[in-house]
Amino acid sequence: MNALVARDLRMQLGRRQIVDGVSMALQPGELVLLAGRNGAGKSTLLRLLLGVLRPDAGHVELHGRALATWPAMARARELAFVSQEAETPFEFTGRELVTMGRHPHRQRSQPLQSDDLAAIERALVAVDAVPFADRPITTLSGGEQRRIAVARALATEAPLLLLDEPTSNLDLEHALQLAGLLHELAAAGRGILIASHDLNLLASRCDRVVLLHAGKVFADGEPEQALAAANVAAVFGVQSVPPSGFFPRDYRL
Amino acid sequence: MRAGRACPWLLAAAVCVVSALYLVWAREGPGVVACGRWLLSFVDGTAEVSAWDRAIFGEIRLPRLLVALCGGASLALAGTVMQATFRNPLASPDLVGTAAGAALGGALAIVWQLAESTVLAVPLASLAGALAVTGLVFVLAGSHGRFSVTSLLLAGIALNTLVGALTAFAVTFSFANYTASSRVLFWLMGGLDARTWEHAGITSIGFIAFGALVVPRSRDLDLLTLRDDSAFSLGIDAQRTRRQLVWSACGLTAATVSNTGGIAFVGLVVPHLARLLVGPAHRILLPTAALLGALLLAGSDLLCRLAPPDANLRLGVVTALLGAPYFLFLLARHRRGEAL
Amino acid sequence: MPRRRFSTLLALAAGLGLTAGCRDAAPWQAPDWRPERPPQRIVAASILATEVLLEIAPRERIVGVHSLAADPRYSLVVDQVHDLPLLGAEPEQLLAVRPDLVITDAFTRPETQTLLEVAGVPMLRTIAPASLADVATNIRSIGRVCHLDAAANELVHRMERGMAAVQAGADGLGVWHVCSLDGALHTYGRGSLVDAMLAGAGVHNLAAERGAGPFRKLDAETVLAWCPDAVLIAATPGEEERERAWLLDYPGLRLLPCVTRDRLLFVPGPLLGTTSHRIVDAAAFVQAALRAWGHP
Repeated sequence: MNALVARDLRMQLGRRQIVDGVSMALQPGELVLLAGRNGAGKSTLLRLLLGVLRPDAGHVELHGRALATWPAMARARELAFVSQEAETPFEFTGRELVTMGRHPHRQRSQPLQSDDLAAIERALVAVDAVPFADRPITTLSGGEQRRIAVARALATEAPLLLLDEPTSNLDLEHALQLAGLLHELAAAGRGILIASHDLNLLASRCDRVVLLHAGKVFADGEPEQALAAANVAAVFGVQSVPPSGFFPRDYRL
Repeated sequence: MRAGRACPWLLAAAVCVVSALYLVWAREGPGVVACGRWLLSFVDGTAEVSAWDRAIFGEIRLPRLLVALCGGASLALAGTVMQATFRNPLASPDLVGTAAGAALGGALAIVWQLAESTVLAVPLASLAGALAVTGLVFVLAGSHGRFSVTSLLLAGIALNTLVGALTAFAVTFSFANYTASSRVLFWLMGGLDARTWEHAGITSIGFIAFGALVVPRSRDLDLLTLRDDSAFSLGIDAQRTRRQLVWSACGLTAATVSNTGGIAFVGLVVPHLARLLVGPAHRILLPTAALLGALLLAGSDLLCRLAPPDANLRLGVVTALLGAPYFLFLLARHRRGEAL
Repeated sequence: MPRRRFSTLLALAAGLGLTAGCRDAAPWQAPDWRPERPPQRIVAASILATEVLLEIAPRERIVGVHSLAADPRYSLVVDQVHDLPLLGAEPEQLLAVRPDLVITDAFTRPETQTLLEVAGVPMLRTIAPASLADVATNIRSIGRVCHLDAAANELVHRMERGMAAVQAGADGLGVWHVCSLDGALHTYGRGSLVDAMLAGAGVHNLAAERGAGPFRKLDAETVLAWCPDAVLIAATPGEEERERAWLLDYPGLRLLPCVTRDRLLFVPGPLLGTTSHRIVDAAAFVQAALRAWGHP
């Protein structure tokens, strides 16, 4: 069963058709890479799937029910999101930011319960952020900030996870670690959609690739098939990239 | 750097001390003993207290203290809310024209000679001005209920300029009468002298009503400091919540500046100090800022009252003198590459 | 780079300072200056000068007066200036009447003075008076530069005799402790002309007794603590009720005995504010009002 389904989404910004008739689905337990050049419409599509943008035409369904009709808190418990950019101008600590991920689970002014604390701790451990969790976010490196952002999404314990360029700003070690973590999370049953142009790192670990070009789905399928040399040449304008990336599928640090 | 959970309690104690000093300490007039007698008269009906002392404590110092406490707390809360909703530590409560509208309303009430008929004329006119200008800014900025920080700021700048010009125009009319002109100037400078129960009533009702709207939403405020799509993904409607909270902040600001004149600066500086003490999490930041605002305003006003009398020191001057060095400190921090 | 910019600024500032310092002082800036010939086209660019000149100078020698001299809110000589050119604050207007002497006061803008200097128009600047002696000095200075010393001296003697007469009639008024206030609770204390006027009238100025300087803003509490026997309020005739309303706005002031007994003494604004020999009239006005009330 498909948890998140998009049907014929269209979105225009100004005179430009950003998303032009995209249909796709995300199932629990699969790790999907949403690939494409800069400006292909990845971020906009991600925000349409999240519900923060409303499509001009087409619709999104979450667990068989139109996304727009979901109560906000219930939706937030199902669908988590990691943004691309730095998040807050204030000196929150990493732990405080991860705690915000528990918002959809808490009544107004309800103090943190033990399951909240456990979820926060699990999320921090998962991204290896415990050592710097209590430092103000503004003193952290870009990569550390990104890991905190991922931890916040994990703390929601939502079964579906949308990430916008999660590996930008990450050094190779942590990028690989994050890719490994996302792979494990998918194996444990979460549905994960990553918008990224970092094919090398991620293509080898995902179950499926959706290749977006000029607002349309150019290819959708197994990585080897979707990223076949012809597709890559057409979409990215480069001649040869090893379809499975530079790193073999079973690469481990 | 963060002082933690004890901070609000320490501040509350400091507010109590300053309030007590405020009531009993003056250059001239009754002091501790008379104040004690006056307080006793509430418990013990037979205790003697002169109409004179009752007027000084009950009609002059207490309302003035209440305006200082509630006003300081309101402006601090408003500033904290504005900085969170605009996701900008330099946002201040007068961004969207509230203070400018209040200044214009009050100035018109003085110039049009409404202020002679009732004490309420200036605060009511200025409240009306504040709400009218704020509303206009929202109407100009809003496209179909969407909350866009940039359009709100632009509309705010436009109307701040326009309303400021109108105020200057109104002030020139006040020169026909010497008293009116000095009143207008003092009104624009801001101050707490000669505050009555009418003023205290409006300020404290505004503080309680809008404070009650703001304080329970500390977690929403935390989330609003994130980008809109992140906040949305965590289950809050960022646009609507921002709009509601900015309106509450404007309510707090209007209820205060309509009774004090132009001292909105407090709302810019206090949240910074409070964040320095307890960090940015609003559950503890909001009460800390409110207490700090109350403390700062009451303390500054006490300073005004105790300063050498020929210095003619005004509250707006004191708060600015206290606030400006703090921003220089922030500048130094910023140049070292630290966050604001 | 910033260092260089800074030194440029410094050099510029020094240059400006030198230019200003190098300008020759005009002869009329000397304290005892007197023009060689009696000036025939005099401009009274202050209310003080107008009030004094109308008293001592032949009318045809006055070619213009300050526009405020025709404003009943500030001037005591409104009905005597209607046929004279009224000159505003713009220095150009002063030059337009081709004066050979301009009498300004302490409040005249420095730009006006510079322009007069550049145009070579002699100028007398009277001082801001803080006492009867200062008023006499101003009157004598005006007499000196106009070659009207005798008339000026006569005016000073008349003022002194008048004040002495007012003072002589003051017995019994020494029990009054009064205080001047306006609707913003400003008061005149020691070192102000109002203080000198009240001393002339033979009553105590509460503000001076409580150590206030020339001009102080009070708060309601202080007024209550001082508890004046009467309050002097400058009011444009016809605006008394407005001024009363301003004052009673202040919390607690209704409790003052002088308010409950209605001892608010409205003095016409120009009279309370005069800096000329008319200060005697102000003292007499206050005295008459207090005498009519009898005892505090």
